[in-house]
Amino acid sequence: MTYSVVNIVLSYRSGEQSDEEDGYSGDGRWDGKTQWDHLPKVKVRAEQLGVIGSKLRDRIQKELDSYFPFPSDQQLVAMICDPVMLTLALPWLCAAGYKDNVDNAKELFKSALVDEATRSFRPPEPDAMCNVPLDDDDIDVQVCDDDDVFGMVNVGSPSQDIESRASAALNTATPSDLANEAFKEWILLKVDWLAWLLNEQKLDEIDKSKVRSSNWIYVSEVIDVSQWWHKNDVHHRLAERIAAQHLGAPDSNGLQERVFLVYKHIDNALRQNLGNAKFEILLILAFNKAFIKDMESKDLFTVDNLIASLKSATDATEAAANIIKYFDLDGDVEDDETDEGMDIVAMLKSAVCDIQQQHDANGSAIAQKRARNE
Amino acid sequence: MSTNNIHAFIKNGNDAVIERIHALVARLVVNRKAPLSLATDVNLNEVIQAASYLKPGSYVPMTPGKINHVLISMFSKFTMCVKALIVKVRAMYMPVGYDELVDEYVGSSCGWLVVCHDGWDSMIKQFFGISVYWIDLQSWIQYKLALGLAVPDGHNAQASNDAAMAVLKRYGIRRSDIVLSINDTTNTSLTTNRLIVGTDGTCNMHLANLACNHATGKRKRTVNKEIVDSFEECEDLRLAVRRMIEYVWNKKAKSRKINYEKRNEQIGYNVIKVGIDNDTRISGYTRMYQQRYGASGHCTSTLLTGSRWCPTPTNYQMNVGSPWLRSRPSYDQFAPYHSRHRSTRDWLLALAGPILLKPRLPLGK
Repeated sequence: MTYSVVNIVLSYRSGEQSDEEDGYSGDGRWDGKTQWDHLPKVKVRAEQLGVIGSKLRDRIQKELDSYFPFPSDQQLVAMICDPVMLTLALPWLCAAGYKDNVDNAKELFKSALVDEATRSFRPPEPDAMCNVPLDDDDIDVQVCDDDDVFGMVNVGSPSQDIESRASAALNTATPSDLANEAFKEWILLKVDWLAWLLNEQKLDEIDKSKVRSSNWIYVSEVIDVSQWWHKNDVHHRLAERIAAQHLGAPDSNGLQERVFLVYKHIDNALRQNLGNAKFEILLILAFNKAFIKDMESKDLFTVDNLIASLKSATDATEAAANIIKYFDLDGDVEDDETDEGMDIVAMLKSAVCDIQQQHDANGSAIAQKRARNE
Repeated sequence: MSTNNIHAFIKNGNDAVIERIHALVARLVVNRKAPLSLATDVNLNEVIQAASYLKPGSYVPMTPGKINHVLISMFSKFTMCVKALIVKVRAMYMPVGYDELVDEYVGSSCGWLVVCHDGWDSMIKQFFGISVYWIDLQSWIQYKLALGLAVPDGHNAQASNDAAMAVLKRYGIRRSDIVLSINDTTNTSLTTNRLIVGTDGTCNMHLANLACNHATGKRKRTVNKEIVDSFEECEDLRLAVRRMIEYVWNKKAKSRKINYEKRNEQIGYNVIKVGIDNDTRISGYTRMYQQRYGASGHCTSTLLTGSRWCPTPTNYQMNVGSPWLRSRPSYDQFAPYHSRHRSTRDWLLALAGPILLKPRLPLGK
């Protein structure tokens, strides 16, 4: 079979723009001014390709099933850690016949919680264990022993020591208990996504009907999961660490490919004398430009901050003080080891004195003038 | 002189200085064959603003040694900042008194950092690049950073592993911090992943590319040196699509393409070919369509992961790239080349560049 691009059938055109405006004359001739939407296009369905189309579809299906037979464990846990998927999509997936995957995901998440709880579990210290008996019977037993000074010290009434009761409950719990509690709390999560979108994410242009009807594909596109976790992480401390581990994992090494894109722009024909070290420095600084800018904006010792402080100064004395503070020159010349520092401090001190004298002179002149006027 | 006259004098003087600066910037751009966008670059404007605080005539010119010193200072500052972030995030993930040796013996991992790595071979330079992902638990910001380039001793897995760990150690990253290592589908990459973190971490985009290539017959499987899954008809179709794109690129926009290439050659820019995308990009599209395919009823892995956390599954993310790249204006200029939603005119004008903006005769058939 042969294919040709010359004999395009002009069967479909769309758009409101006129032919004169978009540069398309309608006779199959088009140029650089022609809008993409107004180009003649033909939609070809896979069936129209005949045997090739159906065969290609079968082969793609077969290859995808071969390479992606089932979701990986990491992807399943990531699905559970996504609050939108958890609250809206899991019932849909179960109804669509993927209950095994959902159950598997829950089991994996639970085991991850147990691992995390075990890892972060700290056995109770002996002193803390002494605070455990808060029941009346235990108190009586300990109080009877008059010789037990430490026991008497540690005994407290239940009303006095609520915190110790809570800590005792935590101390008596095993890691699996903590994990079960966290799992139950997470699985039973209920979120009003419409309220979240309107109040927290401040999104007005949303399809409320789709959100109300729990359209999880739409909701998952508009919800910022990281913002949700940032707001609600205090309620799910154990699950938070697992969520961050799994949601942060990318699907591909596309980032590295992007690095190589920048690489390609630096590695051009005119810059072949660049050494490897300098090339690496240039690439890393160029690629992480946004991060470096953000890092510098948090740094107090930037030129921008100095300029801002100088602009905000109301008089020269304050400006000089800002400069002294910025360069960490406390005005003590003897402590400053460098000659430049000594010069700067001396210069600033003299400038401040001059300005102050001038200010005083101006002030006295104005006062004399006022007195004369009066 | 009245106050109004003084203000007018200062304003006129200021305008004259601005005009002088604009002329100097234009001269710099022309003489150094730099892109015209340098004149509007934010960083250059910041330099000029800062220079206005200088005492006239007091500027000491920059030297190659000084700029090297500044670059090294910037890079070491970046390194220290990332190192500090790593310590901070590790403290968030690792419990108090955590002993990594315990996990090593038990076989579990407390990792929180994902490492992406890949090799690059150009005509002159060969590098092994390493980048990392992690989420800061305090702010829930996902960090995506390129950490460095290494020159491995060879193309084998052990050399790649050593090169990757050398770069990671520069930032204080331990092996126990790594939860996943991702690379493409070659055998060396898989072995490198196993050496770094102990498990396989294949890039799903490359996997999808592999599936697509096998499905279309571009790649062939052999058994006893005999091809068992040939698909010649589809190869003809693929070549026809290629011819179509070449027709659009070479015939329909011939003069603009030549001028574009000449202009880029003059200013030392690479020619960006809009022809046929490379394998990685094609695999991204495949991945995107796989997601659509999965959303239509098949429970595939992409469907379950959710599009937000995959770097390139959607069309927009595929074309524009990561947020870090999107925020860099110097590379935003390439966005129209990849956008399939732009008009043909925008596409070609963006391609031709600002020099070719003057009116031209329409490109007829």
